[in-house]
Amino acid sequence: MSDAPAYQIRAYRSGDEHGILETFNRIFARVDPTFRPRTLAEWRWQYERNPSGRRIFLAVADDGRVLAQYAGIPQRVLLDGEPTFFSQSVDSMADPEFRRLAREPLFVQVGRAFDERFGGVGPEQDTLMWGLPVPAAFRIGKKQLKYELVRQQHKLSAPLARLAPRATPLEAEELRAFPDDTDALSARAAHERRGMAVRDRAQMRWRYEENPHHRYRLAAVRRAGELVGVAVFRKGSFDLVEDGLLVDWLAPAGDEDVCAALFAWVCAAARAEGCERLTALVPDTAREWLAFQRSGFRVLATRYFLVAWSFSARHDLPWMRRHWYYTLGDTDLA
Amino acid sequence: MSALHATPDGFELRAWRTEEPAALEAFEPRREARACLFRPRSAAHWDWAFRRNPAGTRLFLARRGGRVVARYGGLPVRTRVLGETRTFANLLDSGLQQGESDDEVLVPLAQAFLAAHGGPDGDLVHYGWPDERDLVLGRRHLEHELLRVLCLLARAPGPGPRALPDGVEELARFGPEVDVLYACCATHWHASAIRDAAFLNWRFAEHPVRRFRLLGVRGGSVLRGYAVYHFDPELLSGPALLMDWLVLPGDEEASERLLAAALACARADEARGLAAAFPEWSPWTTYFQDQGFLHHPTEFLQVVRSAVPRFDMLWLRDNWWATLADALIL
Repeated sequence: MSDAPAYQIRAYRSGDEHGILETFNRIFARVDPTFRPRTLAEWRWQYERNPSGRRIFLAVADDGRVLAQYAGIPQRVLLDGEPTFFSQSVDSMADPEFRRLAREPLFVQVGRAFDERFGGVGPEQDTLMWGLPVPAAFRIGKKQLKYELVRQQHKLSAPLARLAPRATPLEAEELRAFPDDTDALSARAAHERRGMAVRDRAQMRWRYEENPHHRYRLAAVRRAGELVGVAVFRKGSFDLVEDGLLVDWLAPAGDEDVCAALFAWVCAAARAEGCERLTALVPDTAREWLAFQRSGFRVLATRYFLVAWSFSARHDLPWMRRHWYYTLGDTDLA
Repeated sequence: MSALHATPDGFELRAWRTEEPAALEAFEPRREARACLFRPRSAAHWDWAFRRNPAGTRLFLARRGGRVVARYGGLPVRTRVLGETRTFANLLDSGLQQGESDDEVLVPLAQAFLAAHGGPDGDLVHYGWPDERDLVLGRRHLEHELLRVLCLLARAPGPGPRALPDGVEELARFGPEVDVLYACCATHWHASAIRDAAFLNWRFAEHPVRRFRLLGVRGGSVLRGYAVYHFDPELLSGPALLMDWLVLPGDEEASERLLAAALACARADEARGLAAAFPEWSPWTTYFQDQGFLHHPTEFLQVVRSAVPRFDMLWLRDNWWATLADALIL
């Protein structure tokens, strides 16, 4: 084991990305046999081009080596119409060579600094930090940070053969890009949902159209010219199963015609891609939870559990449990 | 046992002993944040919970001048964990008389309970579905952590017969054949309450207040499966409850008959639904959905506190078989 180098805990500075990637690719290659090194272009997409910003805190040695990172993917969020941020904790790491040299684990030190810098209420702060941690990170996080369970994260899954979309006068159109009026649809949806990440055109373009990892298919439904629903699909792996993934879903929960049109498109897309099953992720408190079950989906366990810590007494975890709407697209899992 | 804590003004904290009289006043409505589902109002109900439980007694009371001012307790359950018999305790809602302090009375009482029963050689797991105050108390002072949101599988009984189907009989009590059934089923789980005749008869057949219908399917002298049905329109907003369910996986005929029987009971009671609960990983969760049950979250949060780190909430989530029988103390 090396001697403890002098280090400082601080926010990301331009140029740190090279040290971050060196440490990231070295550490994760050791623990994940399927790991593919992250490229600088991929890093820039995730941390520089997200319209909602960047969240990175680091433990950096005097010689520039990155010893630990606590990072998040921020999301602009509307809570009861008021703007704020959430951030999904991702890519947290501590170089095993140094992680136990300090009085308390570097991961914890950096995590605390991250909380202090970004956590809070109001339009500039992260009201909620959340994640779907691996067990080891969860055990540390609940003990030394503020991780709390929101729910065991179940999925909705169905063989395509069981899904029979109902008739609807509307039709979903497959698009190559999100249209301008995605902003208005996102605003209306946020009003209906009470707690939801902004899904405006800029965010959706970044998340799906410009994504360097995956190719997504998207579709929209219009009624009398107005955009009333969008869905995002891709074939891929979630929870170690290769499925058709309903990655995003933005439609008025009670508007059966819109939902049926999107649903018909998603099923057709899944068939066209040769999928046997369709899988979706929504909170069990969302209206879609029962609606999808009534359409033929079954609730299945996953290995994931959603953890979070809220900085707001008003929008605490019970509130989030009841009102926060999210899909697979909110996570970095699909 | 002498008082763990006593002051000259007559305040004391200690375990309630089975040779003492019942202390029904401990469960009178006081400051509870919600109506307590378990509220013994008779000596028989008290005795059932605190004298006759085959797994023992877990109840601490705080008294001031001889009057009970707080309670903290649970019902222990013998539980098979990786083949060994251990004890879990299902925590009851705590109680605190108005005017008494959480910090000065309830917290030390709960901590005394934990110190007496929560060591590695005591109760392996404490668990419960706390109200808001107990949730805070448990997390701040008792090492409780959230395990899951309680979810129910529920459906309307729908049209159909109201009488038990052929092949299903109503049992008065469980006999030794249930021990064999449990022993066969338990091999599928790393942890489960020991559903032997002693436990099941105490839990259901001998309950002094509630009527549980014990539905069984036999094959000769072998019990192939059972279901425990209960209906009280006041409970959980009104569905009939499938309190317990034990069938060998793969015995589809017994499953179909028992479920048909429970639905018939629900129709006969004019219940608006039938609800059950299983761990999310259980094949029964899928089976019941295939039979028309939908998965609903509730507002109840399950907390656990393990005396041994190895059996933490992640392990319990993935390995502990539990039904409404493990959740609802009535």
